[in-house]
Amino acid sequence: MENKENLKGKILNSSRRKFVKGAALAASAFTVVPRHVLGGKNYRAPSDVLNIVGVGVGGMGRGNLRNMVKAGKAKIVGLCDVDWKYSEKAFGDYPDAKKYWDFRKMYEEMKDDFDAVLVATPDHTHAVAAALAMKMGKHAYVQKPLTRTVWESRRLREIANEMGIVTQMGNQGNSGEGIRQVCEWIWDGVIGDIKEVHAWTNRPIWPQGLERPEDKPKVPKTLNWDLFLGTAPARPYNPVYTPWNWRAWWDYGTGALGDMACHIMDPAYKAMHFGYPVAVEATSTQVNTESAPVSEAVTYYFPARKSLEKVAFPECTFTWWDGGLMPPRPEGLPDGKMMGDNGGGNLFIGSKGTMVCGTYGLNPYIIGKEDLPGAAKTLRRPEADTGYSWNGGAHETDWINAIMANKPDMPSSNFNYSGPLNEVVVMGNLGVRLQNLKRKLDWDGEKMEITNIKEDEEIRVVTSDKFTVVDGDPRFDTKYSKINAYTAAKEYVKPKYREGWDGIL
Amino acid sequence: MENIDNPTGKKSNFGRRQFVKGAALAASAFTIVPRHVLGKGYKAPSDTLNIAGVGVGGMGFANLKNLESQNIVALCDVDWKYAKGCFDYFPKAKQFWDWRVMYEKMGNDIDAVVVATADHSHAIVAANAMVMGKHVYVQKPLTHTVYESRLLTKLAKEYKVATQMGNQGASGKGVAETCELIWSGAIGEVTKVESFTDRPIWPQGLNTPEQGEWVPDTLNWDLFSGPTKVVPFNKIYHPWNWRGWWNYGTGALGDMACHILQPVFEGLKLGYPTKAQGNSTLLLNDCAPSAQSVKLTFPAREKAGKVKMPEVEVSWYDGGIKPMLPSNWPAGKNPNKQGGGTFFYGTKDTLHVGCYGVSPELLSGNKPDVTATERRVEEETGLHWGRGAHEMDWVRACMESPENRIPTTSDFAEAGPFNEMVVMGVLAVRLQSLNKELEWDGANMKFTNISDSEEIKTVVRDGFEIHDGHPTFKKDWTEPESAVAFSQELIKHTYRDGWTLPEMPS
Repeated sequence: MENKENLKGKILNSSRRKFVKGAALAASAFTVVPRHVLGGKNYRAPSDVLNIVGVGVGGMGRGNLRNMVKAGKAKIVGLCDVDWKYSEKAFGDYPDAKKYWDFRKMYEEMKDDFDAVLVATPDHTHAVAAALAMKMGKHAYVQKPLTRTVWESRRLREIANEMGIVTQMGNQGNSGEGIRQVCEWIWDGVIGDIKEVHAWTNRPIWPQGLERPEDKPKVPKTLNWDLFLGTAPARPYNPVYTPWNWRAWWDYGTGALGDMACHIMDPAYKAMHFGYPVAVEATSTQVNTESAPVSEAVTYYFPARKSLEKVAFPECTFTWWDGGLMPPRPEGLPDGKMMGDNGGGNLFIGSKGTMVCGTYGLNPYIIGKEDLPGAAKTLRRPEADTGYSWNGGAHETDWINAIMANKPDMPSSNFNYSGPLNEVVVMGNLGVRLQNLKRKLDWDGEKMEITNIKEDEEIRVVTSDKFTVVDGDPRFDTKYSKINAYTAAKEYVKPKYREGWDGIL
Repeated sequence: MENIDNPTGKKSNFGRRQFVKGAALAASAFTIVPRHVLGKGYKAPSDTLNIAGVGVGGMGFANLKNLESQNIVALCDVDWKYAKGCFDYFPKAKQFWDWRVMYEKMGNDIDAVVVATADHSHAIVAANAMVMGKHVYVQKPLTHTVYESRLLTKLAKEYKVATQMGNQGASGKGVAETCELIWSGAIGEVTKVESFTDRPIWPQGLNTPEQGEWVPDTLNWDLFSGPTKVVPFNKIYHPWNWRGWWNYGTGALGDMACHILQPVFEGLKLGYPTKAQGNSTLLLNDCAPSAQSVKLTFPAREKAGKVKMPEVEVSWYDGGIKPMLPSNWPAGKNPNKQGGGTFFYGTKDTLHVGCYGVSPELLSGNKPDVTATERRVEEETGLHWGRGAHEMDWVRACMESPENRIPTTSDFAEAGPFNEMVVMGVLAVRLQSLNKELEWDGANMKFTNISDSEEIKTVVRDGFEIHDGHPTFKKDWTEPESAVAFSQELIKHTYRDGWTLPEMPS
């Protein structure tokens, strides 16, 4: 393909732009050879350029869009954000793109003018922003975590398959070399059978465990608060929620799990063929009704899975640690060597050896072995295919190439893979939020149900915890609310959307 | 002894007070039979102790109330506002700011001292009393450092004084029953223990205040600082909150591990650990983290009863993090009893016990018939462990001659090494960035696998901020310094000029 020869895509991109200007046509005209001419609904000519719209473009979305146009195969034709100040820079990047507040309006107005969507809103609106476009047959690149809840992940996967579209979750490390090495080594039986795996991150490195603010500042003119809320229950605006900080709040984000587990659980999930767990158990610093805790540990219990030629997959525990907590150092890890890297890592304890890697699966190695194992490279390398590094465009470009080639299975984090991965990630939050049940929660993965909560079981969850010292006497004013655990679990798996947002999924 | 025969101690106390009023004598007169008549260290059974309290605003006041059957003759505190309640409660006691002055002026009139200052001055206050032959009751954690614990252990032996660390659960029947269960062989050999607390339930992981505040007239900040450096006063440190600040406290470990790990140390007859590793939420140079985990390894020990004591790993979690529940834990049952809990994983069974050793139970549901070999201090004193048994067991030991003394339930011969285990957790956490399992030479109090060339730096300030929706993660760090020197300073603090510990007995 032409773009491969021109990795920077600059010349092509600029010529494309000139063409666009000259043509002064509607966005749909950018598709040079209409797809129906070449036969097959999803067929694209190699010379095609993909028309992409972005939803939520102030943060990570801006970086994704930059990577998408890098290879000159894509054009950004529409941009949508609920915060026009936060998205100002992204808007400036693409002066010709149409600008919107509401993705529903953008999709409707541009329905014939775009081929694919990037979704990088806060977690709670990933599912609706993606699903609505996907149901229109648009390909989707959705930031991690794929969705805020288990059911939403399941639905996106189903919709993707129904529509035959090409999908990718934005866990860019999944296109890197490290995760492939981890997989190939494990599948080659290099460390034997594995019964214990760990993943950890030092995040959150921002405040969590917060309480709902009581002040009600004015909504900035540049923000549409109602659209920010989207599917979430209404509450007054406060700058602690947006921009940026939404991740800490249960209604919008998924805490450190949602931030990093799609990256850091990824190598383990892929290599270990985990599928659905049969149980989960979690513990954390104080958990409240509003905000994810400062530090968490979540253990997933996976049943035995089908063996490969050189490795069996017996029952296995997979433990996630965040907020700075980590598993104990394994025996043989040299003194002074950081386990993983600054952002976190994975630890695989096998019957024949122990493997460690960093965040995104980077730089794996086997403890006590100087040389990297010589396992066959059976997995495709998106970095080689695209000419970009995993964090410099490979992940986005691989998705674009897959769309061009009409190969929904090609992107390595397509929703058939990343959907179940994300279900596991956000299921961790079920464990965290329901930890007062004081048990291992049995999980029916197919049905998306915790099976060992009685319908009338109640738990106490902190709503507010005020600590003051008055004349040297500590005052602990901790308030709780009682919630029905059975109902809450259902709601955490499948959220009720705010009125007007139903029916999209 | 009258107070022991009369568990409430009320009647005798009343009589004593009346006597005191009538006598209107100096505190020294309260000792009815002068000790020199009966030989040094010996007290007639009818005696009451003359007790001084140092640090009496918080737990110290509670301890003294549990000792009110004795003569509370002197009270010392660096904060006379915080101490006012105690001062008012014991109006006859002389009042001091500086324990050194108190020892100087009243040395001959004091038999015993209750130390309940902030952690960093436990050792110096206690040690200087012990070398004067005073019995000591020292709040938990016994000391701020390993070296200080070792010193108090040795001084107790050298000076033959009665000692008790203030982990009152050690006088409860739960700890005794836990030990007996383990020693009976009911759970087999133990190679793994996991303990936890939900503390700290107050803010930790805080940045150091940038500005000092005026020191209240009622506080002597220089004396509060005592052996450690004097930093600008801020009420975030005192009163009450010092526990979260490394200069003065030892975080959640210091707060709760002496309660929660007592049955672990005693039941498994642990000594010095050989390995330690820790990690935590953001580690700061001044303030203890919000959550920590520590793993200590203890080598194989001698048999206890019929049970072998193989190498054991003891893990500690705080800040709300708990170990994963055992597979046969009953759904919905709270493993946190009175502030925390412990799981002993044996080859035959799993034993759960709460904080303070309360409510030991086997997860199999078995209730083995176990011989009671340990003292039941609550029965002996007629007092609940949390309401005087622990203090009165110490009073009993103070009354006994060194030759015939039955050790208290948290005598320093045990509490000293035990507290070393507790503060080893602090070392493991504060040295976590060395990225290693630390190897510990207990006898010589040093880590053996930190090389001379290694450096360590720690975050001084977490500068997380959001401007216009864009986060900055600026962290200020200490200058890199020798890891060996840093660890040695944590093991044995350099005291401020003018504040010295007695020599370590050989």
